[in-house]
Amino acid sequence: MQPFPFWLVSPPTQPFRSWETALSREGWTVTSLAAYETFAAQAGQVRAGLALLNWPLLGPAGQPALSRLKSKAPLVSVLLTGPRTIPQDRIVRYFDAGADDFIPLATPAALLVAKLKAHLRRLLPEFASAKDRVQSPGGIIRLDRSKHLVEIRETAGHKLLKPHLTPTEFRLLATLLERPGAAVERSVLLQSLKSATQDLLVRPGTVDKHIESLRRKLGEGRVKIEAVYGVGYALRD
Amino acid sequence: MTKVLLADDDAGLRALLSHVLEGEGYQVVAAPDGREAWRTLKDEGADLAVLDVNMPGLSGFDLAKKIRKDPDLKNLPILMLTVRTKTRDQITGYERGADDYLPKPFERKMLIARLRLLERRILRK
Repeated sequence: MQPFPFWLVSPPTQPFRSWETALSREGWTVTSLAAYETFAAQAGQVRAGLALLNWPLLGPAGQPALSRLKSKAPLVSVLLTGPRTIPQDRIVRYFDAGADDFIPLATPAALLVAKLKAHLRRLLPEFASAKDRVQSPGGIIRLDRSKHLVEIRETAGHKLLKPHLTPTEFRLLATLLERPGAAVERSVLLQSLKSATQDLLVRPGTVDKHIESLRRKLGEGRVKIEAVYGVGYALRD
Repeated sequence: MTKVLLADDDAGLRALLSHVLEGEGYQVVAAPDGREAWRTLKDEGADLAVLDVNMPGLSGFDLAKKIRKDPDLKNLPILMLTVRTKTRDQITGYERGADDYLPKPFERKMLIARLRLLERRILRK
């Protein structure tokens, strides 16, 4: 299982050096970064993680940047750090924008570790199960691999459909949901079919057949599997 | 409506915080000490617990430890309020199971903000 990602997004100064040492002593692998943009790009690639982010690195457009990050990576906990003198109103606004905590710079390393463990008690079960759950960007389709369950919210959160999919269709849908909105190459879909059926002789035309079946089961609602000429298929909602 | 158990042996503070929390849309059940808080949790349940640390009989620390050991209550989100601001006390609070720790005195908006954070973090609202 991949390790849980930790980031320390800050200049390489104190107290961050002491904090990094303390976290490493816990056996946690910490990625230290000096730029917010690098962290945001990495955070967008994972399902869950935890970051200590030095406040000034967010820049003047801090709150919208944070909101954008959290909408792309809701299970990445972002703990802002800064001086105790920051007005409480401002801290609350950053909480509203998506920050998950505020850690004063004067926090001793031992207390920081205790606080992070409190966050991890809640976050790690999510991390363990997060990779089992995917959903479309609009939240209309939700798929849970561990339960082999698909839910489609058709109308503004009211009607919930649970189409019965074969293992092959389920695998195809999961593959499309891993890159929502983007075209997934036919070769990638074919490989997922071969994994689902354990049949190395599956022919390329079988992808189209199963996509048609999947389209029928997903219905005529807001979710569409569109053919992308020369590439493969894309799932859009 | 999110139900909050508020445990504090200071009657004035208990009344003030109950009023503040109700004004923010929470349903509040208040308890004057740790033992009463435990009975309330077992009988009525709650969605969040706000616990003072320095309570007679069963302290907030010991109450948190009891909550974490109980199979029905072990996932209850806990915010601790306390005048005990020393590092060692805060670490103890987290080790006993607190999700967050707010030293007294605190601003009302920070209490509400931290409760909302807990809800978001734990209840994913």
